[in-house]
Amino acid sequence: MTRVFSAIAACGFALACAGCDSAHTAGPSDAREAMAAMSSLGCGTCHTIPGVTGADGKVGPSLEHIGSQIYIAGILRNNPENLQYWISHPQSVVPGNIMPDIPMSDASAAQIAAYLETLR
Amino acid sequence: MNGFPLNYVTSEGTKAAAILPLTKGVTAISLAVILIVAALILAAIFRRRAVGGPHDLVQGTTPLHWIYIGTGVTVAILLGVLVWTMATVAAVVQPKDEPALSLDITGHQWWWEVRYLDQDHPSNIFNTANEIHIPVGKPIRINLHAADVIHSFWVPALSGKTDMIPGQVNTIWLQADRPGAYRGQCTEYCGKQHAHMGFTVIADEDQKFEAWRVAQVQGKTPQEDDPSAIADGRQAFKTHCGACHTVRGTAAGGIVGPDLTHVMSRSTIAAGTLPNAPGWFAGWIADPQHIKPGAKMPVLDISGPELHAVTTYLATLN
Repeated sequence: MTRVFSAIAACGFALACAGCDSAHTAGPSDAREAMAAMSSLGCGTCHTIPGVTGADGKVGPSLEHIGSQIYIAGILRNNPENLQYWISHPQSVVPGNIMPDIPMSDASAAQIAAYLETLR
Repeated sequence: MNGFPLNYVTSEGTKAAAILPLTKGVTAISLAVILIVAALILAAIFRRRAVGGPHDLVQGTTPLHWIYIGTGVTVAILLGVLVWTMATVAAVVQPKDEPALSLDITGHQWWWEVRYLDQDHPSNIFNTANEIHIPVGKPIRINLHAADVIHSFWVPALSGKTDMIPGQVNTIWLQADRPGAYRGQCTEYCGKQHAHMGFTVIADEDQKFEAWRVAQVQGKTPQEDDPSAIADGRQAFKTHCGACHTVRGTAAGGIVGPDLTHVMSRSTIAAGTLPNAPGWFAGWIADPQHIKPGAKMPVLDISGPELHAVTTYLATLN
């Protein structure tokens, strides 16, 4: 009987860990909130973003290594302030580019920028 | 998204409420049968012959009478369920009152065209897509059509499934008893994006529904004082999108894809696939084939500024 129980427990453990992937990479709560914000804003329809479920878009550049990029949008130096500005006001940086000005709070934009800067 | 999950063990509508006891009853009978059969199989497995040599397990009477009992009980239950089913179907085939509203709903690969009919006032007829607004507490007549292949119309909270068959009109009715958003889904495999062919039924109080209907009837005639960004977008939309999509009141009059006259009033895009919000919308227009591979909407040969103008213009279609 104990053997049966340990088998069931092992199965349960395996199942529980099947969903652990994202938990490992989640890190601090700011990063998790940034990922949740990107997920609800739909960033993944255009960009491939590590850590954001379903974010495999090919419309714009992949953000896998955006933290090590020198420039953003070919025009701004890459630092957290500029990245935050670009995320919330892409149309005032490059008017007419296809990335829309998506309404979001400054706090969200800052969290997203901070998270993206860690993608090196 | 609205109305998830596709829950068919609770009901929010008159028709679904009538069917629900049948669903639960038949499920209970089936479970009882499974339990009885499983118990008998287990009994047969564990029953041993007596020590001392082979002889018949059953002494005395032949076991044949069990066959008669089993068959008799089964036939009686099946007949009961048959009568119950027919009575239920008969009870829901027609609504008690004359329907308050008639709709033509057409299944397309892979979206839903919804046409609001009005026999007395043809100027009140309009098209929309993927989001069906109805007044709460009133029966609605729905004529189901199909444009290409067989689809099936299902809103589990409100009604059972009915197929949409090319060349044949199937007429159903439904009624929502409580205001709310109820998810629907195509339930007849219809090609690559069958799973992304969803819709929402939104049941509102009379006043709210009427306000929505009046707004939907209006077109979007270009105005003299439209900002240039919107005028440019309208021009780009006519050139690149107007062959398939309609914006009433403009030169864009295509009927291949959904009517976009009031697209911003809908909560989802791409037939319930994505939330209708700026980021999702821009991504969908730029690369629909990545989001719904095989969808009839192509990746457009369109410049960045033109695409941005189109999304800016669409954002005004509320």
